[in-house]
Amino acid sequence: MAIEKMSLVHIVGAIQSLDTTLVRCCNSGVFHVELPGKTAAGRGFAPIREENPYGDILQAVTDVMSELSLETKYYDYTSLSMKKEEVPVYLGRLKEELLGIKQHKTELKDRLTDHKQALAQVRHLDGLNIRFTDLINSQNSTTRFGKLPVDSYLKLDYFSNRSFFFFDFDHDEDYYWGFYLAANTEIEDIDQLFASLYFETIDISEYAHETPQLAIEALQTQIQIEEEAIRRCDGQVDAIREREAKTVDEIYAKAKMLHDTFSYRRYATSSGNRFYLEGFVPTRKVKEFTALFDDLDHVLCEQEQVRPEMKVEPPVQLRTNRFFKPFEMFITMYGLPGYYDFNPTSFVGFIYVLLFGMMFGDFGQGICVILFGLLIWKWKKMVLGQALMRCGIASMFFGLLYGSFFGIEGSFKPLFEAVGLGDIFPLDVLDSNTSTMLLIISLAIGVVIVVAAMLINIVTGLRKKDYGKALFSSNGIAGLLFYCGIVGAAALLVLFKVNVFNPVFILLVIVLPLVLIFFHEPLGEKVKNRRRKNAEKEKFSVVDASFEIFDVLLSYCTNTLSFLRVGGFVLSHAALMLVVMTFAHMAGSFGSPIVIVLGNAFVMALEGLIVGIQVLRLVYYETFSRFYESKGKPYHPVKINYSKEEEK
Amino acid sequence: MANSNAYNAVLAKARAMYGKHITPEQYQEMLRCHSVQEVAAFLKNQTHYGEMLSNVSEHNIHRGQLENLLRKAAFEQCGKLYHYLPLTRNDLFQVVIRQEEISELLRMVLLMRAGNAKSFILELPGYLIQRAEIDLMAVARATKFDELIYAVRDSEYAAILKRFAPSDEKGQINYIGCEHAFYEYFYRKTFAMINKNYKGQAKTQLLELVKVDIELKNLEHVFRCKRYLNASPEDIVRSLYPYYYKIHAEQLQEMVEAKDEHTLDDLFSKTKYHTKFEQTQLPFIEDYTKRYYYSLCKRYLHFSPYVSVVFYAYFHLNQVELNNIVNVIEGIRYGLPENEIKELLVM
Repeated sequence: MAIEKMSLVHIVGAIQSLDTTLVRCCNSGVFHVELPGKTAAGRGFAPIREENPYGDILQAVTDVMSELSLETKYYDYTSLSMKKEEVPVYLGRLKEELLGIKQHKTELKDRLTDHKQALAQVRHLDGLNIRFTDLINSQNSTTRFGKLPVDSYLKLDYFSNRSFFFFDFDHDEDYYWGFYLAANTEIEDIDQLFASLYFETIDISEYAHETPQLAIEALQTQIQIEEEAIRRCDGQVDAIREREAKTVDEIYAKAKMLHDTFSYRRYATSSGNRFYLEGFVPTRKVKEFTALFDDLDHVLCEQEQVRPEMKVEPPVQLRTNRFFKPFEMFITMYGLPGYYDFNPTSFVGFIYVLLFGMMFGDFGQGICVILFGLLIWKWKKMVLGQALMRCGIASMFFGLLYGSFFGIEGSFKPLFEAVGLGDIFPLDVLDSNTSTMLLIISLAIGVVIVVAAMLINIVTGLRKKDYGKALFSSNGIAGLLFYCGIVGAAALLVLFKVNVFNPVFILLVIVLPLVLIFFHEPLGEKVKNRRRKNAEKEKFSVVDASFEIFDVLLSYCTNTLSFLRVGGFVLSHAALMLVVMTFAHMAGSFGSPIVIVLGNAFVMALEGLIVGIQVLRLVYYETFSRFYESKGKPYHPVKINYSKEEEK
Repeated sequence: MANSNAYNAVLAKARAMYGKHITPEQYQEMLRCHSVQEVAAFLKNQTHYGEMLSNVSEHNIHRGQLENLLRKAAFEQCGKLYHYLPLTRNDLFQVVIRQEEISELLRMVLLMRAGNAKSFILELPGYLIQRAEIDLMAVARATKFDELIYAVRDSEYAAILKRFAPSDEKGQINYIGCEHAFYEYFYRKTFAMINKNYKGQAKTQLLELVKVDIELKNLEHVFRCKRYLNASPEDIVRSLYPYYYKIHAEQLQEMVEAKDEHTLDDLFSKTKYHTKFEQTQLPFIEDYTKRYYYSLCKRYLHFSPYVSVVFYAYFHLNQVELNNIVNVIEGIRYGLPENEIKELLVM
């Protein structure tokens, strides 16, 4: 339950060993490279600015792979025997061959599109029961085939005195398909008229020799031929893929490795013929890492443990035990903690599992949650699935205590009787005494969680020597004293009728902490700047502090009461299932299993989602706001991203 | 009358439909097109006109055909929204149809004046032939003014047209007077419809939209006559619509009688519109009035809780968009520079 300790690693060496060094850094999988710090600049090292010489080859091989539909991923390239200068020639030849096939295919596709369009047009003329040739070859008249917009079709009536015939065979929402016929002597005028009506002529002379049916058949044959030719082109590409895939894959892997490694050169600095590189490696693995460079004569790798006074910002990698590991996603979603802060994953995980289990307590539904979690983890590789499995266990545990099995309340009674707890368990959550107790327990859990968050804040504040935060803030010792004092005194008064609100108590536990919280900023500054005489003083504003103290008092109250929802959800879950059971009872012996299954599915989907969100909200809002600062920088060791997914 | 607030879904629908309207960035992209066909392709692939243009081949579309289709699309969008309106709002859609009818009749008058009545049919929108309350095909067949009056004999338009019938065959038709009379009739009918069907805030808001529209038209007319036509006050007054809202009758009269442009500007600066108009320098009075009315309609579309008001505002916003597209198409067709076309757009 901590943050991985990091060591700062400095690598210095001869410039000719830089590429080898970078390759080893990438392969190690643990080196988080940093932009060179002040140390390097102070010693005359300057950044290396070079154009990546592998860019063109990588682009060419990626293009070829895309044409061949090959997947970009890691391939073992050790057996690649091609020389460096042979690669561009080989790729060029392959590209040219593929381009030829592609061009031919494009031409075929264009022709195919044309013919498909022509087919669609001629199909609209299918209702025409005459020979095209008779119409087209007429000596005294001219025929134009095409389509007329619906709007214009409505206007044809207006031109009834003009000498033309319009025959339509088909129409859709926008057009009437057909032809117009006019005497050769009039055709120019009629063409103009139809042009003004936006008639679109369709040239079907190439196909329209006989009847529309024959034209359709001719076009269909043509389309078949073209489709066959396109398939042949695809076959040729397949053959090339079969023949060249291994070599292309190997070239890609090597080019990608060289390209990405070279691109990491921007993190290196050089001076004369020396280079300098710095980064972070987890302290646990630093010996292993430095040993990687032992056999390189011109490379020196040194490491030092990171200390707060070094003024470096190490990356953050969370270390969490296996049970709570899936809950790291909630931390990264919010923002990583600072390197010197506290890893709250286990704390969050524990609260999440506990509260989820309490709010969604049902033995049978818990099993479903586990199965659902397992499914999305194995199938979709979602980490949330693992988190759900843990929540499901808690649901089962609390379901056992509530005696709830798929909404059937009072289950497991014999089990508890057998172990001698039959008088207490299973709990009847809808009983008024139990529900009051549940609400009180929810509040108590809330108080414990809020206190725990304050304690974490105090510990991290002291560790970072931020005394203002640890001692005087609303989440520091002053706040803790005030909160615990009020809650404790209220509990004593309500539960045991003991009134501790005497003047001394009020002065020490209420007034003093409030005064400290009110002045926490200047007090914190004073402690921090004790030894710094010339430190700048921040202006203290009474108005700001007054509003702040009001907000603080309100937040103690609301943050605690917020946990009442835990008890509320226990009750709502039981009530919803009661409704399902009532419906099942009404549905009779045949319908009741269906109602129970559907009702359970509905409640699980609805409540599962709401409870999941509510718990997350409680964690983020009621606890994180008390101690958490998301200022950490994620740990990203350098590596070669062979596939597109990795790059994302 | 049904409670207007019961039609929140219609409000959401209208706002969602307006949300699909062309954005300033899309206008900018459209301005980069080089031909009407490119504009058609852009409208088909990138805008809400895609559905209307889906069967159209953008490669050989004609400008007139494209404009007709866009007009039809704009009309159908209003029709779509109108279907959701309660039955008592039928009269509101009649306003849309009446406006289209008047615009077609005026086009016919103009064409008759130019002796080209036969070309009327070519630009006549097909959707209107079926939806109009007058027989537009009969209007199209008219070649003389008498025939036009006869074609609309069953409507109130006949009486208006009769007032402007030329005394003999060679007599000129007074188009400006005709236009004024038609719109006066249009506004009169609109006011009557609003007063009959609406009450409370819905009525107030609808009346504001109509009255501001009229007042802005009056303002445009006064400025245009004073600046470019040097018309006499009597002529100007004759062409004004006698409705007043934010500019009092006396104020308007003073503006009509202003000695010069400077005095007119001074008088205008005392009106309530002065602060509401855009503060940037624009070449024509219409640039200010159209932008102001556009923003007013937009405000009502977003914030009015009354379906009738939102429908009326949507109708105008639709018209603005249509005009903008037509301006882009015409601008590109006549090779106007990009920035000049952009100045014509109301956004």
